[in-house]
Amino acid sequence: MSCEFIERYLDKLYAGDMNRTDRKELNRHCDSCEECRHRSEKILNGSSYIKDVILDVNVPPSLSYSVSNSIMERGQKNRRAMNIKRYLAAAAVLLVVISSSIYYFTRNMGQNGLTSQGNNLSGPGIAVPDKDQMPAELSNVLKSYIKEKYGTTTKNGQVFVSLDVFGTDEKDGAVKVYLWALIQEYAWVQGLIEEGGSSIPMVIELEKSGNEYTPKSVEIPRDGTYYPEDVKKLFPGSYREKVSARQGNVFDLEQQNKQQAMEYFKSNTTPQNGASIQKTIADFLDIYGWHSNGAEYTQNIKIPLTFVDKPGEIPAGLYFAYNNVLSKSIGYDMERYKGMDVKAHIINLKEEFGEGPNKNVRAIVIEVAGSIGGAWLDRGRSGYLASLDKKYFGDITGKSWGQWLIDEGLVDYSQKGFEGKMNKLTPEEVIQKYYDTIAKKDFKSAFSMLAKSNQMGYLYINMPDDKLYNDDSQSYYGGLENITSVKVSGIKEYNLEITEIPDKTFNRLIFARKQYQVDTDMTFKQEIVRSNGSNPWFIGMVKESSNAPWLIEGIGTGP
Amino acid sequence: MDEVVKQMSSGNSEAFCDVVKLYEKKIYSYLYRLCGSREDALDLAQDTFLKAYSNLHRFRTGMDFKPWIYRIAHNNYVNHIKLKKVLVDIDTEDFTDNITPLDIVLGKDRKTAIEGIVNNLPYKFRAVFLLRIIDDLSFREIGSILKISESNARMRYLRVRKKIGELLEGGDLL
Repeated sequence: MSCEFIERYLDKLYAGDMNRTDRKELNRHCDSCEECRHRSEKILNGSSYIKDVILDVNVPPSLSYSVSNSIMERGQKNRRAMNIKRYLAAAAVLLVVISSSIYYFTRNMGQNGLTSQGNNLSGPGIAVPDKDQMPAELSNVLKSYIKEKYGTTTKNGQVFVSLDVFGTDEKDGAVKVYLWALIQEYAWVQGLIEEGGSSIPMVIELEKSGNEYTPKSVEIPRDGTYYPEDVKKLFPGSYREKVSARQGNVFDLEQQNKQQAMEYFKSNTTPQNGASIQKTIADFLDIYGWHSNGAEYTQNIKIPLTFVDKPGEIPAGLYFAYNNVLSKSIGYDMERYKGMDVKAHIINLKEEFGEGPNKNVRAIVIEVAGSIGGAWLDRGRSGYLASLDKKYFGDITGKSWGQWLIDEGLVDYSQKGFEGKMNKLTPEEVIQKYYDTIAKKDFKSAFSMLAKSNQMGYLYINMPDDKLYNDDSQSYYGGLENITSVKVSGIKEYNLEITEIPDKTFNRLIFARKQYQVDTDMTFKQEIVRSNGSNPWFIGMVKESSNAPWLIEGIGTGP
Repeated sequence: MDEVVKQMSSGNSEAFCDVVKLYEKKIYSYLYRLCGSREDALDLAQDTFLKAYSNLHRFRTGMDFKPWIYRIAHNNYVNHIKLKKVLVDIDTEDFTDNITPLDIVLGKDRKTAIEGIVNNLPYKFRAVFLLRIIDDLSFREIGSILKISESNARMRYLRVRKKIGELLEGGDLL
């Protein structure tokens, strides 16, 4: 580049913020300098091209449709119910005055160490702790009052309330509490189901009498076009921001309600025939011909919020997705318990089942609130198995594992993230990238280059007897951490006649498979099994479906 | 546009639906490029427009609608990653090491390479870059949305834009 005139404008060209004078001067120069003209055009066209690339996204048609529908509906109806089914109507407001003798809270919060941690509100007002530290008395008073006012139920339901208290204001002995309430009805019908709910900003006035406060009245914004003006009237400026932020954003409150509902039904649901849960489970397994050999364990576990695979993470979501197929086939769908704490009963069985040398079977029964919420069979450390009525994954879904993952939206090979990129690589490039990521100590990326069924297998490696699966990340990455350096010196395809072993548990219909001999130079922190220097490997590569990327099926020291 | 915004801010639902059509591609693209999931981007975009509609009373004629809607979208995204406890490099102040040349080399075409670079940017660089490239927001507006200074927003954008140019120097356009 010989002409340096353009250098002074480069930042502005790239940033796209040249003013008129700059542009004029540059244009004048470019009229006589082909080099600078070409370079400036390249930058400007480049920005335009990048914009096209970034906007080259297919917008789901449902976006404007659902937004428009919702807006038109809201224009006529209630603005308050956001993402919650609008089963409970505000029309059900009951003018029930809550008994002041039952619900009260005192101002001795300081004794609980709470006052000092409270929000410091401007102006007069009691120090109110933030929502996470709110005393149970205050919370219960408000919840009960709201429940009385707005909670109506169907025949089997119970109403649960969760709050986000924005703050309080005290004047002439009356305290106003500004909050957002999520009111939901849950019922137990072979599991927890949500019947509907409301999501409402409100101001509750409490009457002070001595050291006690009693709910006196509640105000909520009116619907439709009155809503904005009412919010403005009811809420001070700082709380209006919080009201806005809460609209359509009550996920955390939903989780709280769900947990409350679980606790409620747990203590109010009697196991069948009044028997203990162990007896209930034993009777349940007996229906399918299974009986405990006496080795039983329980594990408290959280069912993942989503079953969708997260590249690089331990595939707990896929574990539950897979086993839910088995569980659903006997009528127990665990989808409804996503994000919830449940108890897993792990029962080693007397009876044998399955193929291969190890025919030992475990029954896994998920207990939710004292009832059975899910169940399936596995083979302990030998891995996955079948439903309680002995149906395999493929028998139930009629699909291969790889295709099922795609059809269920549990993996997204088309997205432009990690797996999107993987999808464009040849098997050799995947192998190269695998070792490159190990060299960079990026073990999560390395793990995500394993085939999904291979990743799933890791859940059972070194699994303790009392666990559903091994959630110790050391089992996944521990071996790789011993590698201090690795460099690939050669990758060549190794022609091998592969005898496909039918795999009923994953019903794998491999779309394509290749074997490679990979020469590497490696050094280790500790020379345990392998030594520093040249290390050859045999790597099996698979495409688990036509849409899936090439991924690593197995790594061994021999073909 | 001004007329549409005027009608919309006076509570005309149909006018607002027109605004949704004008912005849906850009807002969806912004959110999709930020979170990498079509499903999440759809939820967040829907929520963005609904929140905007619910808050129209806060929007006054004469205000610029564009930065306002992007601010809602961005706040939505931030809430989303907090609620889902998604790990985002929210405090990362540099990005040099995050762009892996291998990604570029392995990109079969320029489009893939650009997407690869953008996807690998730390969150704050990515947000700045997208807001500028998608809808030409001013650096002052971007700074206000992301709570960084105008000069910082410009610096971040420049670094990314130049990096894309450099990494793909061999191409015809960049």
